[in-house]
Amino acid sequence: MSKDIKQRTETDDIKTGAPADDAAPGLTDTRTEMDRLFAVAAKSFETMSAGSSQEFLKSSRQTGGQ
Amino acid sequence: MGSSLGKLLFGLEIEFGFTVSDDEGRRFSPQLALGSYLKLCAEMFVHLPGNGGQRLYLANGSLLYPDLGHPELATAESSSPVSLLQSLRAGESMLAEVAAELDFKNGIGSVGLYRTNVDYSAIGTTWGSHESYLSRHDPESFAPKVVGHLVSRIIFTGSGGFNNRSRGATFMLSPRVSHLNDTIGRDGAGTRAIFSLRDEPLSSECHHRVHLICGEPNCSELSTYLRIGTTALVLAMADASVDFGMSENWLTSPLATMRQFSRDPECKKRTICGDKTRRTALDIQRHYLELAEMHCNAPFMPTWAEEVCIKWREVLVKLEDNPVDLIGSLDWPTKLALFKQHVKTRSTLSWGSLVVWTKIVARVSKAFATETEPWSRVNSMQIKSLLRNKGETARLLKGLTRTLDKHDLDWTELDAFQDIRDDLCELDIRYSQLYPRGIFIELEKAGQIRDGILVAGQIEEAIDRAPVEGRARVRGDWVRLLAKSPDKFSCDWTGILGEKVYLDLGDPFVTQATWQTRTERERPQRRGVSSR
Repeated sequence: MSKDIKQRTETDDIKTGAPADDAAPGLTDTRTEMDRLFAVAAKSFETMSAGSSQEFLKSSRQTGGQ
Repeated sequence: MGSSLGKLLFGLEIEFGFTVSDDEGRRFSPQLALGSYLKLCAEMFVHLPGNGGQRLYLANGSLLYPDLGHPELATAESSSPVSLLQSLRAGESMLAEVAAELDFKNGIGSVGLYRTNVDYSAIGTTWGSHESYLSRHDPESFAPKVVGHLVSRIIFTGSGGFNNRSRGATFMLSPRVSHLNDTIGRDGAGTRAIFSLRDEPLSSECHHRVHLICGEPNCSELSTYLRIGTTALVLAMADASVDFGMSENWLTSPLATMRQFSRDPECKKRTICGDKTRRTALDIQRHYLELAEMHCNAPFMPTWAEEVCIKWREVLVKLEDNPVDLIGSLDWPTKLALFKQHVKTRSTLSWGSLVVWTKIVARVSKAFATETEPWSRVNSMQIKSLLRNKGETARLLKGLTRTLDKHDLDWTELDAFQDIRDDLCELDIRYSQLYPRGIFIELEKAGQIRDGILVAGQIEEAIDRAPVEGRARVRGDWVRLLAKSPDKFSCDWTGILGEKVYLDLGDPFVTQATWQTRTERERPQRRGVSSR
């Protein structure tokens, strides 16, 4: 699948899955913080994840634990 | 636990995922790769060898060793959750440094080091983060009192991820839970209990060791701090025979309850208890917290009990009022938010539809028996072709089509589901990646992780020396002194062996080294020493 990132910045409410625009007033600061968190995570993932995830999961198959 | 009341000692063992692959993505033999890795560790770290294998007793009180093809680290025994966290983060940092060095020296591929929890390659692997707590009494005598805590603590200790025993995308607070299969039991081949009864004290006869294997590695310092801190307090109370105000069978079905809690990010699901009450994980945690608060100043509790209780209460309040506040603090809320955002920005599917697709894919996989070749997929074109046929498979698919219709979904989205599922699993592994630097580390560097516990310099301090309290300091300091003569000395967890002398570290709280003349006959035999 395409790995293009759509430029969307809304955040889900962790409890309801509702879009952030439906969240209660006063959460603006929280949303901004989360937007930053999402941006850093997305950039980090993009940097590491060059090929298909299916291939990565195959190649990262590891010897098991207990 | 401990030779005196109020003094606790505990440690962690962490299994790390480890791979070395060439430029084409082909993996080197795990044994060969691990052998090279540990050889480099031996070159880079001051150590004494263990008795056999590639065991390295390090000068900071930790033990590094191979286990089933991956590296495993036993932290220095510590007397406070902060001290243990220092030792853990120091170990992770050291192992990542060696991975970078191997990567540089190797030059023909790439090295990956992960503090991961489960493997999504269809094998169904899990990596544990085992906890050890010294106790004064046999753990079997108080195990039932503690099970409720272990079942419900996953609301703040869970690492977050997906059920790797399914080909779908079922989010779990603690993916490790899918791999537990007993409530109280002796761990062994195929058995993983919530409360393990393996009692190998690794110390003199008056001690026992609670060895818990139900936990999983965390990235969040707050999660690890609370995992160790709250569990140590609960065990200290149980060991001191505190009345927990509950019957032995307080939870009627602990395993089923733990699975239920693990699939409930809202923390609202209730379980039926033996006293006929219906309690959430939060209710159960509040019960243990109130007991700890009540006994905070008791002689059997450690000096840091109040500090842990304050953080414990803060987290429970946030989980109840607004779990969003814990994004960037605890692992599972952070990962869940990242997973949802990932689906929103990269897929045409909605987060909610993943539940339906998980069920559909489970039925399709079963029908096509693709477990025999885990990487084969059934794609939407094949489904459409099969739907034109007659027979049992076509009937099954037509039934599933009706389910999809009910949810306004279509077979054409099957490929998108399988793609996003793999993407999410990769995201989970990348989050915990230690080398190269993974998502969590990048978030930390960018100041996006809140409620950290350690302050500047504490990790470096633990790279150099073992914690002040406990035998790890004595062993570590002697390892540093004797490391120039590795052929003449070797270690195990309870002592250092020389050709003619022996340092007995059977007392976990020993502070002074007393070397004795050694003969084989004189060397103390300890229960459980072979495992370390």
